[in-house]
Amino acid sequence: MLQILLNGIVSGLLVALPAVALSLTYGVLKFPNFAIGSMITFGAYIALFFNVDIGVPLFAAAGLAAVGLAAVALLIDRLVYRPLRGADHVTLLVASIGVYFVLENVVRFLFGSDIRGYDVTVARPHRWMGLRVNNEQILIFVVALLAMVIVWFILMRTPFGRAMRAVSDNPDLADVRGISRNKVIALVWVISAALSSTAGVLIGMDGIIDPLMGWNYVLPLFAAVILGGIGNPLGAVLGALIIGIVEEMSTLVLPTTYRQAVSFVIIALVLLLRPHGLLGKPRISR
Amino acid sequence: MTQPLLKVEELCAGYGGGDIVKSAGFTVSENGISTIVGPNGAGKSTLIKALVGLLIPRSGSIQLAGKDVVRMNAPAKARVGLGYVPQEHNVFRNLSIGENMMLAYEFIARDRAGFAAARDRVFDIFPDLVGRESDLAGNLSGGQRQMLAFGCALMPDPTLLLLDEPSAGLSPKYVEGMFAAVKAVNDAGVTILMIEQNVREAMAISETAIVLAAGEIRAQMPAREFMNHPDIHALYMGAASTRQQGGA
Repeated sequence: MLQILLNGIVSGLLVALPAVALSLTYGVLKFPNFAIGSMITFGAYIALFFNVDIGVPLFAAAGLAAVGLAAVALLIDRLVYRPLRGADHVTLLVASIGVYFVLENVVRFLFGSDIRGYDVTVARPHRWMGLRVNNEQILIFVVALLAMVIVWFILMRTPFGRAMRAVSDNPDLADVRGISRNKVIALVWVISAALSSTAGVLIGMDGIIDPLMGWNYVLPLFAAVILGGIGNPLGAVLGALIIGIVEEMSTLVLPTTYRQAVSFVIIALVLLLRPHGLLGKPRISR
Repeated sequence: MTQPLLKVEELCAGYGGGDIVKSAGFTVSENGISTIVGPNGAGKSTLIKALVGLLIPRSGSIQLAGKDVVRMNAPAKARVGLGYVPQEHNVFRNLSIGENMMLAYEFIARDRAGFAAARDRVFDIFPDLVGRESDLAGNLSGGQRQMLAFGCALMPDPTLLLLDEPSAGLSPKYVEGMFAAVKAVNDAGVTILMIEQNVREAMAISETAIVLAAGEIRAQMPAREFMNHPDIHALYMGAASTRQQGGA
C-alpha cells in the first residue's frame, strides 16, 4: 500500500509540473492550452537531441530544452495567439488544438516516430523501509518540488509574479497600473515552457520517449487542473497529487489499461458536484 | 489663469461602427478639480476610457502637460503620470491590500526607494487601511474598497488623477468622507478630473464643470456658474432641487 502511495505521489508530481503551467496560462490568457501535451513532447525531444545526438549531459540538456521550448512558445504566441488576443476562449482552445498537432508532427518529421530514450545509466532501485525507490523517482521528487518552490517564489515574492496574478485577476486594472500585459504573457509562456520541458525530460527518464508521450498526459493534466480549481496553481498541484494517487490506487481493483479512465471519472464527478474545484471560487452570474 | 494640464481636442472614440464620443474638446487646469457631468448614456465612461488609454481614440488629440499622449496605451499613460480610479472592479480582489499598493507603485514610479513614503502618504489620507496590509482586498466593504482604489492611484504620485464616479455605490457615511478625501488630495497638489452623478457634492469642491451630452461637450464653465445657471441647473439637478424645494 505504501509503495502504491509513493508511486502515486511521484506520478502526481509528474502531472503537477505541466498542470501548474496549464493553470498559469489559463489564469492570464483565459483559455485552456490544449497544446500543453505537445509542449511536454517537444521539450523532451529537444533534450533528447542535445543529450543523445550532441552528447551533452542530461542535466544541461534539460536546461537547453527549457530555453529552446520557451523560444518556441514565444514564437507560437507571436504567430498564433497574439493575433487572436481578445477572441473568446473557444476560438483560442481550437487554435491550441491546431498548435498541438503542428508541434507533434514537427517532432515526427524531425525525430521520427520510433521509441527512444536518454543516455543515462540504469541503476538498481534502493530498498528503504520495505519500499522500492529508484533514482528516477528520487530525481522526479526533488526536481518537481524544487520547480514548484521556484514558481511559488516567482508568483508570490517578485514584482513579475505579482503582475501575473494582477493580470489574471483584473487585466484592465493591471493596464492602468502600468503593467505591460505582453511582458506578463511572455513570462507566463517562459515559465510554462520550462515546467513542460522539465516534465517531458522527467517523463522520458522514467519511461520512454515517443511523439505521443505528452498526449498520454493531457487527460490527467486537465483532470488535475479542473479538480484543483481552474486557474489556481496551488489547486493544480493538489489536483495532480490526488489524480496520481487515485490512478495508482485504481490498479488494485482495475486492470492498468483503465488507469486513464480514472481521470475521466474524476472530471465528471468534479463537474457534477463541485464545478469550481477544490480550491477554486464559485462563479456567480446574474 | 493657470495653464491647462490636460487639453483634449476633437476627440472621437467608440466601439464597433459609430462614435460614442464625438469631437469632444475641453481643458483641465493644473491644480484644480474639474467635474464632467452628463445624463446616463452621454458617453462619460467611453470618454474616460479613451483618456486613460483603455480605448484608443479614433481621432483627435490628448495633450498631458504639453505632450501628445493620444496614441499611448493605458500602461504608457500611467507611466507619464495619468492616474485612474475605475468605478467598479477597481482593486485586485485576490491580492492583499499591501500587494495592491505595491503593484500600484512598482510599475510606474521610477524611485523604487520611495515606496514606504508613498504608502505612508496614502495611510495619512485613508487611516482605515493602516495595519490591514495582509487582508485580502476582496474582503473589504464597498467603501473601504473605494478608499483602497483611490489610495492605490495616489501611490505613484500622478500628475493628473481621473476618478470615475468615486461616490457611486457608497453608503452616505462614506460619500462625505470620499469627497473630503478628493478635496484633501487636491489640496496636496494633485489635479483631479472626475465623472460624478452626485452633482451638488461634486460641484461644491470643483472649480470647473464640463457638460457632456450625446457624446459632445456642450459647455465648460466655472462650477459656481454651473450651479447658478438656470437651464443647466434644471437639466442636471432639477429633480433633486424640486424635491428639496417641495419639502422645504
